[in-house]
Amino acid sequence: MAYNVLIVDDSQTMRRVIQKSVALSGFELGDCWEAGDGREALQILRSHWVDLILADINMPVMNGLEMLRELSKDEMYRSVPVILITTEGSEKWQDEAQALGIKGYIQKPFHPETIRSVLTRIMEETRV
Amino acid sequence: MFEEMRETAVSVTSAVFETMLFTFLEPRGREEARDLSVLNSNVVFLTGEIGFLGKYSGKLRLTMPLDLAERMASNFMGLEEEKATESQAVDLVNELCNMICGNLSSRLARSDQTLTWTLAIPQTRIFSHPEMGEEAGGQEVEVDFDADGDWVNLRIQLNV
Repeated sequence: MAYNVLIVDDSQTMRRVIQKSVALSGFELGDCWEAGDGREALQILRSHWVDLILADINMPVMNGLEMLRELSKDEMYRSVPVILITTEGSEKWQDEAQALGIKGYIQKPFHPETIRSVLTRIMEETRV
Repeated sequence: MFEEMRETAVSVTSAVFETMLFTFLEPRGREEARDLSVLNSNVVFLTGEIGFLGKYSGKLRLTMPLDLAERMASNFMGLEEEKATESQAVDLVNELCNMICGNLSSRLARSDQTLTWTLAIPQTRIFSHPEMGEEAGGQEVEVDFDADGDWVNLRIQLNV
């Protein structure tokens, strides 16, 4: 089964590298959507079926935490697994992000193998 | 505090370049850095800047030749023979600023939670010749790196 993924990051180069890392990890990638901020991501979610969201935190317009708050308010999107890929490592935002239901967290800089192991774990949990 | 910040900045910047770009950085003294050929030729440079807010607020700047940024962006995005565009190089340098500043904040906060920073959105400018005065001191941390013959400069200014 292939999974549709939404990558949310204001850096075009980082979105491309994340997409490449996901594809190289052996993860069965279906459609891959890209958004430059949280607001764009919410628009994409309204019109496309997404199985997994990979998102940054520090973004203009709507940051990753604001996007998570919006997702948590909506019954339809609340169950979509979200993995944060970010430079931010403080306990302050990690506590809030976990309370908002994130499934995983990858700190930049990352090795592609890290993406693979986190994705594998998340999708196994989701299947169960 | 500045000595700890300098050591951490060297470690974090080297780790970001190695992990994401497979580029190895060697810290250099200012006089050694002046001898790097790229500083004595007519090349275009690029500076990324990111502001941070917290107990100590300030900004972090990362400067390098545009050509180096374009080559690294090309490798980073797996473009192979294709050269990255200027906007892709700018995007990469912004992301490097974000990664270095975010990781520096996380590392410093391990010993003091109040040192956690909130990061602004990075911005970049392109110019023809770097200001190469004396190495920054006082309320600043500055490190010159040799990236296989290219010059990379990191400067952190604190509003203490």
